[in-house]
Parts: sequence; C-alpha cells; structure tokens
Amino acid sequence: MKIKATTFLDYLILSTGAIFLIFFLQLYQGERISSFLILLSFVLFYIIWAFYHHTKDESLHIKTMIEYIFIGFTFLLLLIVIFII
Amino acid sequence: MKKIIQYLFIPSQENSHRAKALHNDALSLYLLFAVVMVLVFKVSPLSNILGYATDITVDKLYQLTNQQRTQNNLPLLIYNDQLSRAAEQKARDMFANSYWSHYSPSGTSPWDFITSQGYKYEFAGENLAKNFIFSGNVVDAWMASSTHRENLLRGEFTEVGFARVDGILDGQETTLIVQFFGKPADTQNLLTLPTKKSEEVAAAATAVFENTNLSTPQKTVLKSKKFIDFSKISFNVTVFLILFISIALISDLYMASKLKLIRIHGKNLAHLIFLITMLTGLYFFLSKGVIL
Repeated sequence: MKIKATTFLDYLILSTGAIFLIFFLQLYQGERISSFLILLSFVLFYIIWAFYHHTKDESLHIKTMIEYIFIGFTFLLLLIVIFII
Repeated sequence: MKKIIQYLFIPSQENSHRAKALHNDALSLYLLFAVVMVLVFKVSPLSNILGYATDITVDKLYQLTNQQRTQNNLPLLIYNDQLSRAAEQKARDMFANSYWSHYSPSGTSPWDFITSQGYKYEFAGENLAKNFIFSGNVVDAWMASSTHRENLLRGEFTEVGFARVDGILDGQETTLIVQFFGKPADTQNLLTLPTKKSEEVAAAATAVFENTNLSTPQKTVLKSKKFIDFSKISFNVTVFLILFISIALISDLYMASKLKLIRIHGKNLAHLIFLITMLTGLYFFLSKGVIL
C-alpha cells in the first residue's frame, strides 16, 4: 500500500486532530458534557477532513461523504451516548 | 457460511469490490441500530433502570475476589445476602445524600448498614469503587492499593457481599460498587472474652471493625440472577458491532491493497484512524474509575 506525499500530509492532519482529541479528553476528563462535545467536534472534523481529502484527491462523491457521515455518527452514538451520556 | 463471510468481508465481483459490511446500506443499518439503542437505553422509560452499559456484575466481582484469595492461599469467601443488601443500601444512600465516602455526612458508618440488615459481625470491612466499566479493573485497582488489598486478602474475613448500583451523583450518571466483608460473630470466642470492647481500625481507604455481639448471622450461598441484565446486553451488542465493523474495515483494506483495487469509496485507513481514536478517547474517559 503506497501512500503519496500529499495523502500522507492529509493523514498527518487527521492524526493531529486525533491527538488533539485525546489531549482535550484528558483535559476535561470526567466532565461528561464537555467530553461529548469534544467527541462530537472530532466527528465533524472527520467529515470536513473527508470532504477536503476527497476534493484534493478528485474522488469526491456524495456516496463517499455519506459513508463518512454514517461511520462518524454510528460510532459517536454507539460509543459515546451508550457509555458516556 | 463461508460464502456469506466472504460476501460480507472480502471485496469481490459479487459485492462490487467492496466488503458488503461496508456498503452504505449496511452502514445505514448500523446507524439505525445505534439510534434504536440510544432510544431504548437512554430515552425510553427503560433507561431509568438500565443505567450505564458496563460489564460489571456481582457474580464476576465475587469470582475475581475469590480468585485473588485462592492465588494467595486463603480460604474462599462465602457470598452473603445480608452483606449484599447492606452494600446496596450503602450505595443507594450515597446517591440519595450525594456523597462518596466511607462515612455519610450525617455520620452513618458502613457498619450501621451492615447491622441494619441483621448481620452481627466480629470483623467487617468495606471497599468502594465508582465509574469502572470492567469487573476485572475494579478488582485490579483494589489489589493495587495496599489498604484495599489488605481487605481482600484478610484472613479474618469469611463472608462477602457486593452491590453495583447506577444513579446520579453530583449531577453525573455514576456506577457505584460497594463490597462488604464480614466475619460473623463467634459466640464461643466472645463468651471467653466478655470484657472485650468494640474497636475500630480505620485506614484512609478501608476500615475494619470488631464487635462483641452474640448473635450469629445466617449464611447463604450465591444465587444466580434470573432477571435479564440489559446493561450487559447493550454492552455486548455494542462491542460485537464495533468488532464486526473493524474486521470488515481491516479485511477490505488488506484485500483491496493486495488486489490493487481502485474504487470510489471512503478511505478505510481514515475510518480505522477515526475508530481507534474514538476508542482511545473512550478508554481514557472510562478508565477514570476511582476506588475508596
């Protein structure tokens, strides 16, 4: 699996967002509403990242964006609402 | 069966070169399922009695506690219903009076809960835990703390009771675990020590109490729970679904890379990074269990 330099940069941005997510979750540990909002922000960041990445990659398609939205909100609901809120 | 698994997880001509488990129609089903889970477990009247989705059960805590005692060559503790009822009463009192302590703000001690259930003891002890998600983590945390470990491995104790109660503490949904240890008052020993006074040995985190009461408590064995544990069901179903999607993502990513497939789809690697990040975040959030 080869990854182009520009794609690598995109994944680096996504990973940076992930690191920020964990940092902020640590910062607001135990505060349920804050944690939920941080995770919701990460889901939105993930969807925006997908839009940016696929636009750059010239592979943007409504079907692709729906996939990100479904995955993002499925995990948000399953993991966060069931366990946290 | 093999064909179904291949259809679900391996990209091929039959599933348009994308694991069927990752098609948008399948993803919409997962989302619908997640919404139903939220409605059933968080919004419906059932949610009031379901509480947290945790893996913690009294049976598991009892089993793990005795496992630690076996490893340390100590006799097994006998499950006692009176101690368990006292533990439940203590947990409910903490929710009702908003405190997280061995002693209530009004000065009620753990021993008051034990004696209120008619359990007369020679020795008693209490371990507390909150906001853990796995029974193993609770017992591990107790074993890592010298005072809690002392309670778990105290040779004087012969009986144990547990309670896991969900509720709202300081405005937050909380799972409380109360573990009460006891040794029933021994009539013969007490008769030989008629002048012995009650003595309390309390550490910062645990407490042991000695009493000279003459009555003997009833011993009971662990009864299997007959009711359906909805929390455990929701937990197991969620874990199963996450594993199912993860396997689909990994197998699809691997096969597509191996077969050099070019497809117009979301990036599995991005989905995996997202999933791992969410799970890591959740781990940090949930591993913040506290013992007392």
